[in-house]
Amino acid sequence: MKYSYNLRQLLPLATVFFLSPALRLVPSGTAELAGRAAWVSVPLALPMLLLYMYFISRFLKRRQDGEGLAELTLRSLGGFWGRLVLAALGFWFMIYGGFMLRSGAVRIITTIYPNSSAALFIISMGILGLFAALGAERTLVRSAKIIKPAVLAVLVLVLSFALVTVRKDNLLPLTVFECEGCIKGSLAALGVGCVSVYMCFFLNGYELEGERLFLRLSLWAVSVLALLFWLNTDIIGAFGHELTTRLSQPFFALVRNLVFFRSLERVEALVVSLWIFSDFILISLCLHAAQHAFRLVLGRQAEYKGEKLFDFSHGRWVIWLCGTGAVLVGCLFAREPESLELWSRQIIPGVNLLVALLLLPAVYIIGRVLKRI
Amino acid sequence: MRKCILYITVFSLILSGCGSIYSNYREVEQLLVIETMGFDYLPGGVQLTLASGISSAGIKGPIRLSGVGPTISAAMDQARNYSFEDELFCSQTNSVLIGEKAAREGMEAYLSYICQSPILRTDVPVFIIRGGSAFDSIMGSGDSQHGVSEILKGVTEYLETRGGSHIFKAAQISRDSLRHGSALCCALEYSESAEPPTESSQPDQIEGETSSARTLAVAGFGILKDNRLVDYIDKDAAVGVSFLINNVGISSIQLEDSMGRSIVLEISGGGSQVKPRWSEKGELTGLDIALEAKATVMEMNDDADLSRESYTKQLTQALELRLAQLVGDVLRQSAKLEADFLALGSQVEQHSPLLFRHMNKSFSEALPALDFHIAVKASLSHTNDMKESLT
Repeated sequence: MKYSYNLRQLLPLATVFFLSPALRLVPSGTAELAGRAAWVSVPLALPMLLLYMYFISRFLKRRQDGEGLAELTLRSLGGFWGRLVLAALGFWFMIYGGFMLRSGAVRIITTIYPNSSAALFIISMGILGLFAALGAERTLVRSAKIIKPAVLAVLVLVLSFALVTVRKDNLLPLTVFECEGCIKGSLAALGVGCVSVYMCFFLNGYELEGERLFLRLSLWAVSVLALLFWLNTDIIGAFGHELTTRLSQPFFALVRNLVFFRSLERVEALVVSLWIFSDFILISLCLHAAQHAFRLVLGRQAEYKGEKLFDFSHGRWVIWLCGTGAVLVGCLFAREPESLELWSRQIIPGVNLLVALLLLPAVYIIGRVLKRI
Repeated sequence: MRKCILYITVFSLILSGCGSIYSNYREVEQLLVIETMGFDYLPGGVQLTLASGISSAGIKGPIRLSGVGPTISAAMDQARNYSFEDELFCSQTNSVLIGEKAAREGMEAYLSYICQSPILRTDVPVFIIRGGSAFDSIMGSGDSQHGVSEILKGVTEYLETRGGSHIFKAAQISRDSLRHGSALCCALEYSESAEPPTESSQPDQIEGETSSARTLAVAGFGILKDNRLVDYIDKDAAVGVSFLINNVGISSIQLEDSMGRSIVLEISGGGSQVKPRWSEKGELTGLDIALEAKATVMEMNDDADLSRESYTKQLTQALELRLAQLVGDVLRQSAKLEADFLALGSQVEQHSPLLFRHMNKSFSEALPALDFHIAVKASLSHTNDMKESLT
């Protein structure tokens, strides 16, 4: 198979994917579980995340030409169970994409457009994600490569200026009693890191030959966790864990307070707008992965071969169904704040962790035991 | 075809949220930029008062408006509805005033609104109007040349640079209330101005009648317990607070020397360290507070002679005694109210985290029984006045 991109080009996709759920989940989630020690939760996730990178690299070493995690799952579990698991994963990715449509729309409404309806944002972003899913994987990968420096530059600038607002008494002292909370809080960072990586490897157009996969993934894990640690420290240090748990968007509240060189202020609308790109990448990748899984279940090749937009051959009608499904999920699910909170804090992270830490390892073990991979 | 659909979609994304903007799109000149916001308690609701700056309102003077409603948002809607303005732009709000009655009823709703609102910054300074209402303060302060927003800018700068005080912002008050159950908030009083009223500020004045302009002046701190105002710390005693929270600004302090002569010192720096005292059973018995202060002589009378070491030493001791009194008064007030508005609990926890965690009651509850030992070390660095008087 002719590969269209390599690991070095794929990892920015994982980074951009990582940013949106990281901002949503990690500061409030870790503050609620670990209190003042929330900023220590993120580094605690590193050993487990490195272990997961090792598992993923071992799993991917079993791939054959043109395979991704979806094909490996099908091969490991065989015909019926493989299709069943892939169908379940396809549904989950579609629901996850739909939830992110809702979450992103709510973020824009609460920070910039307080009088707007979520539906138009959901439908607009859903259509963009659908167009991306109808196209080639490499387009998505290259989009992420372009978006990543812009988003990271803004994030680093904001976090640098926010350092002056950090107070020591919001971060210290730390005692051994905070350990349990820290470990629980680290699951948020772990979950986001794991899902970012495995979602990327559900694509199959990447070249891995000659790559030191575990080393590259480990370096990626260290760098994203370092960034997340900085973000968490700034937010907890500025607001304190008590106030952080009560703010609906603590990162954007932090941006709202920043003044650059005593002249420029109130740039949160620009920063929120920039996060639309991260949402777009996440939703597009979810739709790509969902349609890929469903098309494999139907026995079709999921590779893009230059088909036109309304070409429904080779099971491409599935892509339209996934897009429609995601938009419907976004419009109908989690419409109340309490429901959104439940999905955001418990259901989505919980299921993602189950997939990452139970389902995929189980698939690998079964495949190895049955000598199918 | 595909590009056409893509462009339509991108534009719909750009325009999709703009139902709230393009339907009520305004030029910058059409916006009334609100710089001061005030909240007052009404039975069953809230009175919201808003004021623009002079620059936004133009030559007519600051624009002030008010609305009433069962909630803050309803009051805001009423103010907007019944005003002459096209659009109220509240994202530049630099100060929030809360009337005394509203503060005594509870500030939680106002602080929550500020922290959750997408239009207000969480680090906006909050002031309590001592003995008055935010409505009167905003409507009556200043004149055609100086609105309440300009007055508050001056107050904020004064507090930031000198005045021995500290500005407490909405996020900090909320955090302290959540963490310690108690917090401090700057207090202002609505009083007569030191400046005579100008003709332009009195357009309706009847000939022969005199009236004075009113302003907002620093009036110490308000003590909040469970988000309700319970007491005040006077301006003169605010120096004690600044030492205990380690935020000592430039402030003046008047002393008497051994001959009863007045001397004015300017405190230029300092801080405090708090060390807890624990019993053998692990109970907190007291606090040792070590203060350090640097001061200069601002003003002295005829016979004072700073070249004499004994005189300087005597002055230093008088300063130490005075600071110990001020700090002691604040600590006793904290103990009496069982309110840890100085965040001493945090300092104790920093020093002895394990013992603090095992305390059988909260720090606020333990305050009344604590024994405070205050040690002050002051130094006079130089004098801004002459070494000897002219006579």
